[in-house]
Amino acid sequence: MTESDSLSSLSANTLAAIKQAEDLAAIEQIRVTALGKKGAITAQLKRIGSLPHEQRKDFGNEVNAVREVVQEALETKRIALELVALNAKLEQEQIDVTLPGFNAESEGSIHPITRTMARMEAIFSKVGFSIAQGPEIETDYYNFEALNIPESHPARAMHDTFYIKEGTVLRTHTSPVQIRYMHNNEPPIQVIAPGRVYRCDSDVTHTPMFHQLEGLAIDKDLSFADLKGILIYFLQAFFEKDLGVRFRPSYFPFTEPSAEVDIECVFCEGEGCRICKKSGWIEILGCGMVHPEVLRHGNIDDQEYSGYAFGLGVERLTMLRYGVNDLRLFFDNDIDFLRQFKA
Amino acid sequence: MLISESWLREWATLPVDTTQLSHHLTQAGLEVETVEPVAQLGSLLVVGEVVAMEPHPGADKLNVCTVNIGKADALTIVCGAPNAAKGIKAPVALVSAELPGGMKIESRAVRGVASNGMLCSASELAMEEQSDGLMLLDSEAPVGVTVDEYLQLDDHCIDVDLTPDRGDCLSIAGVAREMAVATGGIYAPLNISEIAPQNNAVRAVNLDAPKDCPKFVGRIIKNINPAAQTPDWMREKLRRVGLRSIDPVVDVTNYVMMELGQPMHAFDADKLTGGIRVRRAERGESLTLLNEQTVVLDPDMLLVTDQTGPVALAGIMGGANSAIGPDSTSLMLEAAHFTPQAIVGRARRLGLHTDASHRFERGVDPGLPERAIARASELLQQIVGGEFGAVFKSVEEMHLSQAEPIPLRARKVESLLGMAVDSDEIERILTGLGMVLRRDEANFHVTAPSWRFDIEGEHDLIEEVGRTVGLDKIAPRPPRLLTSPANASEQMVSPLEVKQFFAAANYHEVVSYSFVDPASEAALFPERGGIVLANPIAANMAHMRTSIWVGLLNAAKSNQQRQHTRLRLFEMGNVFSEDTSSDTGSAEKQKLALLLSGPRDSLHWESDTNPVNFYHLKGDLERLFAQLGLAGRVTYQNTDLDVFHPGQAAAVFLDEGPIGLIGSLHPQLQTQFDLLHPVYLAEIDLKAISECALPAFKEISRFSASTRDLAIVLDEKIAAQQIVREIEQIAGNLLKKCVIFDTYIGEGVGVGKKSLAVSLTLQSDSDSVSAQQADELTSSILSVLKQKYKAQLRV
Repeated sequence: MTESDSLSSLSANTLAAIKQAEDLAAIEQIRVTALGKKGAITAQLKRIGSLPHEQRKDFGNEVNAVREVVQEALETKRIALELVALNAKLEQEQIDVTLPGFNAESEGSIHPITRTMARMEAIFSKVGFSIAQGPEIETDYYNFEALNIPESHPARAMHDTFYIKEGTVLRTHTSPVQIRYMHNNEPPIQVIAPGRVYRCDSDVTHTPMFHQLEGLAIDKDLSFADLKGILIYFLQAFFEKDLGVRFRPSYFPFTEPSAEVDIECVFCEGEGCRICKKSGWIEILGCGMVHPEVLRHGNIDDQEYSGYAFGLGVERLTMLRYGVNDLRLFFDNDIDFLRQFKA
Repeated sequence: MLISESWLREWATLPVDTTQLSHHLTQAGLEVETVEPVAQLGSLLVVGEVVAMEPHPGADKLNVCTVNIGKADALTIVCGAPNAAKGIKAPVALVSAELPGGMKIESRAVRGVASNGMLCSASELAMEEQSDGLMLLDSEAPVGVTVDEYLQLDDHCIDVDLTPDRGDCLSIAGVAREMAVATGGIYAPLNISEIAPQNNAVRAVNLDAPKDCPKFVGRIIKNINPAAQTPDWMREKLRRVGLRSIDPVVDVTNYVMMELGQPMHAFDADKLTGGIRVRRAERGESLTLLNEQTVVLDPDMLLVTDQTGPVALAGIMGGANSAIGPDSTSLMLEAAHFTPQAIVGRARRLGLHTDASHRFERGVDPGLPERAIARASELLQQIVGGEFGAVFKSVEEMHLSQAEPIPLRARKVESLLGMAVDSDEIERILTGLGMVLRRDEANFHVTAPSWRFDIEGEHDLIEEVGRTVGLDKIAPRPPRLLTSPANASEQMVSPLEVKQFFAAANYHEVVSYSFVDPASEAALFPERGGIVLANPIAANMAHMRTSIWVGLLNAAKSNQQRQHTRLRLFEMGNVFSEDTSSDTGSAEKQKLALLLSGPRDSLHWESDTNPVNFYHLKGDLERLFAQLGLAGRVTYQNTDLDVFHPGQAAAVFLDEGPIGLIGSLHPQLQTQFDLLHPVYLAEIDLKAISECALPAFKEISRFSASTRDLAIVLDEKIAAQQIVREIEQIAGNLLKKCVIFDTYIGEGVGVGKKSLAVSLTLQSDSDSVSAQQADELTSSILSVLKQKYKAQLRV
């Protein structure tokens, strides 16, 4: 057997072993056996120096070629085996992507009354109204007298009003905020006053506490046309609909002229249904031009200034907007009801 | 108020149909609630006359009637009505007719006798709720004509909802006047003929309270026919406006009230003694009214009296002692003017509401009494006959309000309505409504008619013009800013933002009543007083809440009853306390309240099934403070309120000021409210969290940070917050973060001790923190903690 023959059988055997290797440990073992300090190919390399001079070059070239081939085969096999190992690992790491994620719960809610009030405030603030507040326990003067509700008015009877004691009541409407605001501010005035109000009445369509939003504007040339404009703007924005709005003359002690406002029924679009009692219209609010007597109570010159006022029922708007069919649901605080109103 | 369309049209020529009329009524401010056609009965219901009647051969309670219906052959009808009799007239339903209730009339044998039709009661024709016999018709009723034609059933009942200022429209005449102007029709008031007096029977009238009753008109009628019946046409008209027929005299006074608007009263003249005096009641005086109710009178109530005492509660109801009865033959009619101020509120105080009080409270035309007496006389003469005395009256002209002319500027009409109205049109409208105008170029001086009690100033006149022209004619003006828009400070935290924060943290916002059960309030806060309603709607809704917790606990309880046990609730609103320095006697503070109870997490494949504890609620609150940039300014101190578990309660402070409370509900209260799981409550002043910190940029350190962990053992009563504050003070600017990452009580640290592990992050803006620097700082911290708190390094 020549030198060359034994070298090529070493190469062939080593390459065959690499081919058969099944894991990274086997590859390492082969590398040590062939190319390690005491490896077979290393031993051949070491032999080069001891060969006769004329053989050295050829033999050297042959051994180095074998070494390179083996090294490359080892590297290629190692990369292939690593990939197999990685794939096996990834295979094991598979998860069920359809399981629910963490902290995904969205259980909380904003009460529908708050939701409606926030929308109302946003719509009115866009056209210049700012928010005014007043106390819920009111004096007789602010709740009635200053609003031109004479002693003999039916609303003053015990029947409707909660009394604390002589001269103090739970406000029956948000209108007293009008007077308090006039007392503390000069015209022009453009405010809304949302809040809780109270009436001594409880049945299917009345709760002893409910919410109103009062509007008041006072300036030098305000007219009923301005009042119509603002309310049509509000109602159409609130219901996001180009709906019909009807102003009907009515009576409130604190406005003159006074009107009640109907909107085209949002359920049947004016065709007539159970909700609108077949009339096609739904009564939605009361309004009017501020009574001169009320301006005088607010220390505002009724010759120089005029104004308009309106009062909206928040529960009613909420019921119409979301189709809530029972007023009392708002105060039952049933989670099954509340969770329907996500933030 | 119910009105009959056909009656209305007797009083005005209106160029509109029913639908248009309804629209005009509503647009004039007389809101139409419903328009119902009067039920018509059809061609198979006719007037019949019982010309013969025999007892039924086979049944005790039945009769066999021979009924003439104007045809050659009379009908045989078997009838069981108690008032069936020969000679009566009644509606007859012919074979094939269908009654309003759906009953179909057929020819059939009743106990062996063929019956070809049915004699009807009013209830069978749906004209009354209940009847106890046949509907008897006038003896003059024309036999054979349809009931539709005879009773003029081609009509509509219109229900009008009148506002309290429009007392003048509480009559057919008043509505007719309005509608004539609104529709451009013609108002045609009835011609009333005067009946000349046939004798001089009168009563002296003294008006002792002339401000309350400035006019009293009366008339005596003797020898009336007590057997007379109200004619069908009048009964039918009264029925259409919702009034039951009582007897001819009462029916006439009701009819005149509905027609003209003047409430009247008829006394039995034989039961009156001497002259009439109208005066205020004396304290303690009493009177038994027509409805048998005996009322004790207040001194502000007005009476009609005779020599013997009260005979009527003026403007409200007559007395039983002077009431007309079936045997009365002499009447005294009363038509008086009682002012609204003299009547208002009195009826309600006595638990009464009458058609008369309803009208007098709103104002009745002082010009009407004479007309009403004349109209009633005319009708009574037709129905009950009698001898008419002279009309007598007493009038205090001074106290009859004289309307003053009100100046009206056309310019003001335009500026207030936002619509120009032609001066001629203004004149037409106001004149049509009965106002007297003096025109001065574009301006007017307007005197309101005596029937209007609601015209006090220029505004009122402008309203009349506006509503008559139609508010729908006013073109809306687009919204505009009246003031320069005010923008809230960037630091302002709106209540809505706070609500959204908690909604995102899975809390539900609730809204509970501001008045709660005084017993619950006292259970939670035995030391607090508070404000109580004088007239609560229920005894358990009497106390103005001093905290929102009662409402939250009630909401928790009701939800638990509906099988919700994982409860996260919040509410924002006012709480109330006494404050004598305020004009309302009370102070109102806006609060945010939270309630947490039940399982920590909702069910999830990796959920924590443990119940929540104090720290979960505290964490939610702290996250809010952190979000608002307030975290560093908020501290907690143990508190000992009865409402809380004594070891799990804290007062919350912002800087030095108390801003709220947080704690575990006392277990006894938890039981009292029937709650299954421990409950955690917090309440924070909204004002304290209404302003957040404005971000202020600080240079970012480019030097690396060092961390040191420190585990110490110390007395378990020492608050962690105190240790952290101490470390912060010692470390100063170098300390970037101090986090408690473990706390332990139990084996290994000794009884009454706890271990606290703290992680410190140290970083400087100007240099790297050396290991030596960090170690030095740690040991100086340790030595202070040793010295001050007897803390030991845990080994």
